[in-house]
Amino acid sequence: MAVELALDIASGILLGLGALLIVIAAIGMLRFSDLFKRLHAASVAETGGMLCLVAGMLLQSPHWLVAVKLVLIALLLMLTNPVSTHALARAALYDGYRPALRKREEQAASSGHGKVPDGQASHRKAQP
Amino acid sequence: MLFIPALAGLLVAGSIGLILAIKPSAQVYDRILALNFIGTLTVLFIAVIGFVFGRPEFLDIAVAYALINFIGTIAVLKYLKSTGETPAIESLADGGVVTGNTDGEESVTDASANGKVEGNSSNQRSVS
Repeated sequence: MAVELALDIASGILLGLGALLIVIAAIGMLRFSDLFKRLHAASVAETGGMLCLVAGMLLQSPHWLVAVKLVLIALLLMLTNPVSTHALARAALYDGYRPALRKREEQAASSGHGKVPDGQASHRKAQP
Repeated sequence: MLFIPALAGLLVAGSIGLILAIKPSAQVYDRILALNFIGTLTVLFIAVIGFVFGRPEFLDIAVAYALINFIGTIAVLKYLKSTGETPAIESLADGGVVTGNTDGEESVTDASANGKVEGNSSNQRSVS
């Protein structure tokens, strides 16, 4: 009895944490401004939230076959989601998208001097 | 048993992903990212709803959906653009085109740095 209660509590905590992580990731995807930042936010749901939800369901599984299928789902998603995220970032990079590295004021200041031939690299290297 | 709040969280996150996918200012890769996100949430949704209704056969559908989601994302990315010349490291490090949100907050361009990468013409490709 006490073991079942502990399992229920643990699976409830895991399911709630997973749902919370997924909603937080969705809000982050809505709020972030860059494509690569949005990729970063989406991976929170696709690995963290997914693992929490699957672990929460795993503690409630009535049969061992259900547990095996849940582990299979978790393994598949853990293998495929980083691969598709990487492919998406790579395709966007090859298509000309660049991550936003510099701030706007710095960009305005460096373009105000006209062409800066090779001072940009050292300039950025000084940037933390 | 927090299955119902987990379902609610998955639905909320999925609707936020749908907003991201159909937003008029979204670019192609934002839409693909939202599609992949919604697919992952759908896999989890099918698994959780199998537990709610007490029908563990739904987990097979979830496994199949995870595979189809991955194949679909990779196929669309391959169709768009993921091959060709690797961008040079200098052109990656030099900022090039900063493609932030299309609100114009961070969208500054550095015309002197994107010599090797493709120009600005392919950055604004959007499906409307």
